[in-house]
Amino acid sequence: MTISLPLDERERIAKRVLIFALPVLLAATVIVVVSAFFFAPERPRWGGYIVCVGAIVSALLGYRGKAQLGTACLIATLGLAMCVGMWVNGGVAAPIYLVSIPLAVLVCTVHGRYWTWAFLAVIGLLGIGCVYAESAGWIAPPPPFNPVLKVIIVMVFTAVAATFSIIPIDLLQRSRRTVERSNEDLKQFAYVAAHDLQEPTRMIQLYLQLIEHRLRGSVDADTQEYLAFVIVSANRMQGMVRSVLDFSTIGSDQKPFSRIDTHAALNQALANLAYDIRLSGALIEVKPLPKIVGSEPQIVRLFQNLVANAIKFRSASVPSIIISSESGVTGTIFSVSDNGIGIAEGSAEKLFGLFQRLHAQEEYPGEGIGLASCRKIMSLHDGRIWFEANRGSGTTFKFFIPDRTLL
Amino acid sequence: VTGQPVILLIDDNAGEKTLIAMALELAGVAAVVRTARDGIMGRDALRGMMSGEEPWCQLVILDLNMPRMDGRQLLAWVKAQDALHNLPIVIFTSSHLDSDRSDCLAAGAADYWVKPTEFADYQTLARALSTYLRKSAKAG
Repeated sequence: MTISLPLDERERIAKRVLIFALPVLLAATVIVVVSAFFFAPERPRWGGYIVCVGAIVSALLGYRGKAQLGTACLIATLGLAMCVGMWVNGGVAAPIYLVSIPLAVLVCTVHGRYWTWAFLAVIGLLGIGCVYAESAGWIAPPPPFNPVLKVIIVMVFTAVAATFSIIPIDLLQRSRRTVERSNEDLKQFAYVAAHDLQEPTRMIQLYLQLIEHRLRGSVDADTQEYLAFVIVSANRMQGMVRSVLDFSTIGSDQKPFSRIDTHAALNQALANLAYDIRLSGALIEVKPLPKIVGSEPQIVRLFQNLVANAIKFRSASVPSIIISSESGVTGTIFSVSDNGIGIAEGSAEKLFGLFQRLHAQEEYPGEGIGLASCRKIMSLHDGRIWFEANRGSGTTFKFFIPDRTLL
Repeated sequence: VTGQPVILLIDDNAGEKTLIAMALELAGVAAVVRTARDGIMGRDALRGMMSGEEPWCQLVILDLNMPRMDGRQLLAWVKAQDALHNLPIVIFTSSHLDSDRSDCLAAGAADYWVKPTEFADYQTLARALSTYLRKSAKAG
């Protein structure tokens, strides 16, 4: 059974763990550094340097500006780096490697990236290897540490750790809150504007219908034509308002990500498009698709938009659509390939924008919201969407969804 | 008094009355449409009915999002009045939310309609309303 929690819930738990773990780690750091400074022999080891630098680099890699949580990880890792560095230099390495394992698990859980794990493991193994190689006499130890330099390094580390632990947490959090709030305001604005525009647009549409009904046959051809333009425009306006509303509600359900079967999601999308598929006689080939962690309704919508586009922008030949996937080290790339009219060069920028259309309304009706929705869904999944022109004819839309762990 | 059933339309959108009245007329449903412009005015109209100051209505069409007192609050108030026990309330709103629909039906609304953009759909609504009027007349 998979237990999935919303992201902020995961963050909250991790934060609670860290709040408890931080003072312990910092205290341990102080004790270890002081004891290493007084009791350890002065002979440094390469293994110590490697683990020390490696832990800092991995903390920076995992940090990615994730405000308080990232800061806490950074401090914890810095502290550990110091412990490990000093201890290894003192010649008692093994127990400290055990301490780094829960930290690595924590970092990986929080960031949902297993390469942080892998990186720490490699550094750890490399460190142990060096310690072993040195004690076996295969490699020469590094030159003795200058005691003054050692004091300076300890002081700098402590200062950096203290600075990160006290000042920026609040600042980072505050700036993150500001960004979140203005994002929220903007989302709210789009939703409210679209929502409130719906009513007046609907009234315009309805009363135009009544006016047209009443005037039919009693006005001249010009007036009839003007009226037709007004009605078409009102209908388009209604469509656009509806689209903005749809677009702004993507991801607002706050449902947690879960492990989903993308094959089932695609089948759902194809079922929703059954009418268009039958009407166009489209041939659809589905290759094996994996399970991923994500939002099922969003992935259904993503597939539905891409397949609908492949059918809509078909060439003279019978549409043939191939859906496949390719799993890599960090995630999965999905492809939706068609034999349609293709996409004019240089329109890549425009393609994924809101209300961006490459064709006249009369040629291919639509609001220009499908691919913008796809891009939004991908950004909610920390993924990416792009397209490639097929050799011959047609287009392949590809999207990448990174692997993610569930707590 | 005139013998025609009365529909109380509680909606802050002034355009709605004409559309509903016209749809009822075209669908051949004889009914008088009275209006209240928000929840408070709707509640006052229903109170007037209960005290006998105003003619009784057979059906309420209720918008959800209105100023001062919204449709959800008014629906809860109506359902708390014993005298209005048999009065069918049809929700008529622009909200597509499933949660609104299920909440209103659970709170005792007789039906839930999303406001249409085609006049033809108003005529479908008018025919649905006529069945409620018949049921309401039978219930006394």
